[in-house]
Amino acid sequence: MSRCRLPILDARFLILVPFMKLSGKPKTLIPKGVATLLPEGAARRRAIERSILDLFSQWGYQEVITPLFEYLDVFSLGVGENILDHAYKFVDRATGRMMVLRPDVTPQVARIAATLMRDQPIPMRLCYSANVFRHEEEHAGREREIFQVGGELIGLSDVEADAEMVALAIEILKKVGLKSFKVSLGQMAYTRGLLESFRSSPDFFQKILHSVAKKEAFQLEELLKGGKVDLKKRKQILALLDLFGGEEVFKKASLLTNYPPCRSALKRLKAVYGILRSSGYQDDLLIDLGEVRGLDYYTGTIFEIFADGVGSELGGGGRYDQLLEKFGAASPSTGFALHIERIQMALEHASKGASVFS
Amino acid sequence: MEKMLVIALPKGRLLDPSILLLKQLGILPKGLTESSRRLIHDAEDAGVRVLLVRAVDIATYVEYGAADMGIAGKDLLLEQMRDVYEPVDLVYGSCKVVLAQPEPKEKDLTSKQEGKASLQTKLRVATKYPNITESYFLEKGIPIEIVKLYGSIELAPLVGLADQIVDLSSSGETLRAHHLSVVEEIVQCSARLIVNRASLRLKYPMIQSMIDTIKKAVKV
Repeated sequence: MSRCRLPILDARFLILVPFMKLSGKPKTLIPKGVATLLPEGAARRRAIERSILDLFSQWGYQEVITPLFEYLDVFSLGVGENILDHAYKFVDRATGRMMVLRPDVTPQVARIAATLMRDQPIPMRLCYSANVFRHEEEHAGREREIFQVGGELIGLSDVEADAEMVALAIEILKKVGLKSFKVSLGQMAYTRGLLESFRSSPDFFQKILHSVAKKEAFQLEELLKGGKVDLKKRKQILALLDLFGGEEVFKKASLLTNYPPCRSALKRLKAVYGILRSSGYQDDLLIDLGEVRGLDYYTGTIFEIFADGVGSELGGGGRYDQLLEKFGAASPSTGFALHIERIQMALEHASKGASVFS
Repeated sequence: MEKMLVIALPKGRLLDPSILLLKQLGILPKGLTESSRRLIHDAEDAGVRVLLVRAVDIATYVEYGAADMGIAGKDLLLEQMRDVYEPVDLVYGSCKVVLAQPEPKEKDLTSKQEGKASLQTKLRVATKYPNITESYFLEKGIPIEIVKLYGSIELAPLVGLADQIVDLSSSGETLRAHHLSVVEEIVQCSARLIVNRASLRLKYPMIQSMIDTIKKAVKV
């Protein structure tokens, strides 16, 4: 067994006392936001990962392994500005081109499907287990190295494909042992349809998106009034915040607009919901048509998963029909990714029973 | 075990009106008063647990999901930019975040602000809201140096620590007492109900009905 030698000091000593730099500031051993897993934790992590990949395989998904870093200009074809802002970038020593540590795997899988696998019969079902890197302030479960397991279903535009994503995600959570969770379903084409008319003024549009995302009714109303939006439109946008809940949301949503893209989007979501209900998943589902995260990326049904004990989503995904054409081969697609560490947190929470006090 | 709804209330100026709001909703946690030293109070019949935390920590408790909901001033929410829902403006606790500077002395008619407009030296601004201050001046295109303080901000321009301050003001009395005058109101603030993103789903009917009742109570 080879031993990792640390310079100057005994490694055991280093853990207790980080060595001092000349400036007097302690020099830490590992950067913020990354984790080291000891044998027990590593075994647990791998067991969950394997269990999820096994299920993917049973559902007909084949694993792919994608590069840890790529050229920034190629990678950025497939992601929004926001995710690139948080990515780690560096210069390639050989070519001088910018590189990026992958902040997301979906664009990589999309690129593979559109290039190396373009002659394969569709649908393609691909899955992966990979770490991605995002620079964020370390808090509320936001790590800088994130372990994800995910799947992409490429080449199908039907609602059955959307339902398959949600059903598979639910089955994964059940398989790893989670009992209490909720899946929040949305439809980006519906939501986008309602907000589309504001796009002409990007600043105003961003402000509206921000208020809708925070579900802050009062602020949104003030904003719309200030922007001299007419009463009818104002009511419509405000009503978007109330499109949250159970099946009754469908009715409210269809009364809200006659705009054809919205109507067909809603019809699709209803169909997805119908499939999931007939498979017995209705108790795990909620509808949220006010979700605007990923507005420039997703094009149809979207979903996010939440579980007790974790304050943010365990994962999510949705339909992204315009991604593959950016890599030269248009094809409808949908996919999702799960955050393994947060799944572990939820499992831990469930096994401990709630908090110390309850 | 039935799930309890955990609400974080801020100690300090927003506590009294917040307790009053809970009372209006029929939530009466045992022994909850502003002088209480206990940090956890249960109202078992309402299925609610109340946590008392520092105002500046409310959004942290809610973002992590340690509390499902909380009450926080908009000033702190703008400053901290946490990933939480803000569904209700509770109206009370109204105040402003303002930019202020020393009143010009009679002899010295060109105030510091005008002198600084030519950017001879970098403007120095003291505040406990570095993010709000930064984005305010960024929008104006004025480069500044921020001096982060934790309290008694009014003192800074009086002793030459800063040229201007960005601070909370409700009546403007404290500013006047220190011979400071408002240059501009940056933003109007009040107390907000904030909700954790996961809790809204996981405790859906419970939280939604609470939000609806609070909205009604606030409107009256």
